[in-house]
Amino acid sequence: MTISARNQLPGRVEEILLGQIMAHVTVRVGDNLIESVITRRSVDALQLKTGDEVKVVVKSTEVMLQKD
Amino acid sequence: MATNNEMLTPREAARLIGVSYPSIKQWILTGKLKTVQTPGGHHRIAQSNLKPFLEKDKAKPTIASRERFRRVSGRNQLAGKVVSIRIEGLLAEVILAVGDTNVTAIITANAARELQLKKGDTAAALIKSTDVMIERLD
Repeated sequence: MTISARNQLPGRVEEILLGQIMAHVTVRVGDNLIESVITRRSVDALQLKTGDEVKVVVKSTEVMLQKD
Repeated sequence: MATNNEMLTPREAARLIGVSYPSIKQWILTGKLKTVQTPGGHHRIAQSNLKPFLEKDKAKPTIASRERFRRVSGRNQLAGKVVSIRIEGLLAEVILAVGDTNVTAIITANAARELQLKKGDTAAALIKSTDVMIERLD
């Protein structure tokens, strides 16, 4: 699958917290943990479990920058 | 995927890996650091050639990436170094090297100027967790 998003970081699912409607997925990318909130339906559709290899996808216009 | 091979001047490379300009010059002269030369004979260093030095730089004490800027609610704060800035019209494309990967941000040209971003600067990419999608790899 090809996606136009500029940021596609490979990682591994470290934790999934399921709510009624939303789910909180934590992915380890190198030394960083990236948190994602997606719908519970998506988690079910993707059959996500901890340890799965995934890509974290972020549109570059959603990225803010911060300097010390 | 963002290109992982930006070309940097020796001065920018020095800032990126946190060593002095004379050290970089020495490394180029002794062949410790590979460069390509511009038609004018100036040295340019590919970002990928700096990776081993960046690893060493990481060994220095750093603040855990998520705890770096705690004044903002955004859950994802990826600290990295600016490797490329392109300002065109109203927008700017800024590429940050975070660990092994690059993160691209599109911010307004005014924001980029206000932050006085330069190549080699330390900055953090901030991403709301609801803006993060997950793609399954099979």
